[in-house]
Amino acid sequence: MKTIAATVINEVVTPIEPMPSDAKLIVFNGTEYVIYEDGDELPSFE
Amino acid sequence: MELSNPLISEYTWANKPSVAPLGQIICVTDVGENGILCRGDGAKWIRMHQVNLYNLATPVVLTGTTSETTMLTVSIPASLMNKRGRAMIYVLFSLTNNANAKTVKVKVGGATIITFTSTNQNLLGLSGWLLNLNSETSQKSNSAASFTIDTTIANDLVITGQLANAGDTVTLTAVSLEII
Repeated sequence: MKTIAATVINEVVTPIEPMPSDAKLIVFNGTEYVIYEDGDELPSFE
Repeated sequence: MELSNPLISEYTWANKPSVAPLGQIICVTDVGENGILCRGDGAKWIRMHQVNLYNLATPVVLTGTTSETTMLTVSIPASLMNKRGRAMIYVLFSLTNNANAKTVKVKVGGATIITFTSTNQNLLGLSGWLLNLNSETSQKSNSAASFTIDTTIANDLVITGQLANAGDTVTLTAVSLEII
């Protein structure tokens, strides 16, 4: 698991670097983008 | 038996020749699932066929904020659309099924081409298109809106989400972007 910080550009929350295309799941949790990779336990959402 | 065609040279979109002789065909290897063919018109390399430019492989979840938040960014290469090209976008979301508003937007080059606010749905499918009007800088969308996006430069297609209640979730589960 790794994280990507967020910034605000033109009033839109935006990652500071490109998000990976090969992750298992990406979650923006209100603060940062959390990148789940192979082997990480995935959270569940409604 | 040798299958390679030595008459069709391979390039990337960025390093294709600046000269595009009329009738010359090249293969651009880094666009689409396995490359595209382009034909010179004497000035530019023109894409010869439609291409599935992007398919989402990673679900993206938005929660914990009421701010508009980027969920996906896809770059559309400079001049890939051509004067008469069309970008077709198909998007599927899953959402918390309650009365709180969840707004999703699709933008190209900073211009919003699709916007939709969902309530009381657990799934939302959207589709739309952006059509170049015989010009690389003049478009209409499927909502009849007009745009002046310069498609001779690379433009980001951006999908955003915004929650009325930060405790809800919106999940981007499928995206297909075709350039026709």
